[in-house]
Amino acid sequence: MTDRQATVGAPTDLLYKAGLAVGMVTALAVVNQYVLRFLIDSNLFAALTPAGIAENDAMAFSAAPHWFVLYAAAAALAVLSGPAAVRASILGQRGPASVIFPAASVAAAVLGAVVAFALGPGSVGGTDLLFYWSGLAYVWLVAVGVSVWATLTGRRVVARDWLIHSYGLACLPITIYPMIPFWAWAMDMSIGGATSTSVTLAFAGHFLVSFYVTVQILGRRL
Amino acid sequence: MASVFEVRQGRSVGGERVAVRLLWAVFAGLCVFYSVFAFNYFISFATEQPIWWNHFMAALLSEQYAFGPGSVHADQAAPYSAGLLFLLVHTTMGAVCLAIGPFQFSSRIRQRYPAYHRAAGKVYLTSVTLSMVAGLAYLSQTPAADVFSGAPFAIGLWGLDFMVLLTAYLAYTAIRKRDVVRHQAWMAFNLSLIFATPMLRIFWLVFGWTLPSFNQAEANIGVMTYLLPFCLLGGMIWFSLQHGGRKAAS
Repeated sequence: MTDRQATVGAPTDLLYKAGLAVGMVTALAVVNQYVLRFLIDSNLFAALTPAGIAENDAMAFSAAPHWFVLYAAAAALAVLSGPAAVRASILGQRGPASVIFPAASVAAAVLGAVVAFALGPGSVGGTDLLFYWSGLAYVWLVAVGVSVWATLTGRRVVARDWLIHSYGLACLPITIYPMIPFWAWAMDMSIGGATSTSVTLAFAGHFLVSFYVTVQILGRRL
Repeated sequence: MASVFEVRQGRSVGGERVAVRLLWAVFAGLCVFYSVFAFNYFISFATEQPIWWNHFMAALLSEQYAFGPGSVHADQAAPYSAGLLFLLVHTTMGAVCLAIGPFQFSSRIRQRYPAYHRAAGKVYLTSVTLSMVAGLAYLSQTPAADVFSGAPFAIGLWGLDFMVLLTAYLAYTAIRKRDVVRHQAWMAFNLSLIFATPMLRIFWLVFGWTLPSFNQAEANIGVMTYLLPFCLLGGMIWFSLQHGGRKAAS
């Protein structure tokens, strides 16, 4: 173990374990919402999909199931490989996750928008969610792009930071799903309004948290 | 933490530096340009004079989009009248932030005129605090359904105001500890959040041009979900370029 690994090892391990736990829960939620609820009729968030929306979503899935499966696989791979990619970046190492995570993130960003448009405005959140998915794809691709550019140009701190920001975006579902019923209940909103509210707060909030981690906890040192 | 926080002014080179300066000039220009409209908005509203921003939007798009159903002008007259004092403070103080904020990031100004930088920073932090507190006071007294685009946008504004206050506090505490890098990080984040105000108006214009079936309220809610991350990208990338030198510290 190098001096650097010894110095940053403990907080890095803690971040890795916390990240992996978040990633596992997020992966389960995404696979359930985009594949399993159609295949085995097991919806962890049944309250978020009223009958009309569930019917719309089932029709979209049956029309193009491959997009849903590919998106769920890419998103799950991104959230599960993210912590390892970040840990490798902090420790100055490169492993399979260093390649898998950016690739899976790019795939999930693009496929997420494809699936959103396949679901169409008849799904939860309506047209607003189509804008959200388009915006997320753009922001996520830029975040991954900056981390790849920084890696290629030897800016290791920047690469680490933007890997963390990208991982924060990959984990958006873990805060969005619980927030939807909360806002629907707290503000007596429709599910659509609560969904728009939740994605707005989560999208900006995850950036705030990932920026806090990079600036306040990790600093500019590797 | 300051000891582990090495200042690495990772100066970008060549085309990268030119690109950063160009983008900064565009950003600063937009901020100052919109600050004039922001300053005018509620002063004109209170004195029943023509509101420059509305007329600017009407000239670029249409009277219908600027003044018709679904526009701020048509939908918000009553709630704005009820909360006029808070909104006057909110927008005039916000305009001050937009007018002076971008220039705080000029290394030339910081190095040549450090006293000005410190004074302007104090004005910025005072203005941003007053603006956000007034914004929260307006949101507190206005039913969420009466806020433009309804409750989802109202909650988004609550979130934005708290994030601005939090990041202003983090920037302030950092500079009190002489932690320049963290100070710059949080100020970049903070000003990016403030920049959401002119950026939202730019998106209204873009929606008006590209999606003519949308009114302002629909454009507003369509933009809402990704507006803040879109703005934050710029500030976060700027910070990375300033403090992400080519070689990692060991």
